Amino acid sequence: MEKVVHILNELEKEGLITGYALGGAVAFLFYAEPVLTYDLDVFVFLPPSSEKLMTLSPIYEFLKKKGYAARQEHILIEGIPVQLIPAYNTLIEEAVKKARAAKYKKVLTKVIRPEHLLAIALQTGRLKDQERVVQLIKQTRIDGNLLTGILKKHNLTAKWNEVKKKAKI
Amino acid sequence: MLKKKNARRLSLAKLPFEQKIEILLQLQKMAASVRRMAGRRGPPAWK
Repeated sequence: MEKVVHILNELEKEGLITGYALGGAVAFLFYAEPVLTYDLDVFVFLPPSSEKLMTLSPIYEFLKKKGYAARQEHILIEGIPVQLIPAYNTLIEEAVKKARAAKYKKVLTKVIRPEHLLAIALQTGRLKDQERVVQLIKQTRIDGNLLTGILKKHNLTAKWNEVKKKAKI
Repeated sequence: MLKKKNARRLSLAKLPFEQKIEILLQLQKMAASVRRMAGRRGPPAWK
């Protein structure tokens, strides 16, 4: 894991990505109790390009030279399947921009804030995401004003009310 | 009992990130051994 964080910072330093933040289950784990997961989702900003289509090829090439191979949608870095996901909508973009700095064994990294994680989970809307929302609410401190603003901005208030009603929170 | 369980989950949530990753590795190893015993294959545990 430490090596993965190093590599992500290196990708940023090399300009292959212009920003990143840990997302998905590992970000949830940062704030809540550990749950079983096998992949590490990382939201990234790609540098501006003249190509119409976003491509991760330069990153894959760079990592291949370091001995890390692609496996399906992941890149296997030191045995950890890492999925680099270009920020694909305004909510993810905002979440990456406002990610909080964190340390993993003295290495600096960035993790999506719980309020954005909650909003992303609501937007994704799978059953496991709804469970994560409930878990986050119960196990970490959520900034209510920040959350309300995010939910309003990204039209997620109705979904939020639905989940709250269902989970009786 | 439910109260105790919730308190335990809350205390796990408060652990440092590094420690939670260690727990995750243990969970992955446990899941792998259960799968092995059942004769199934699945994703390998992180190293």
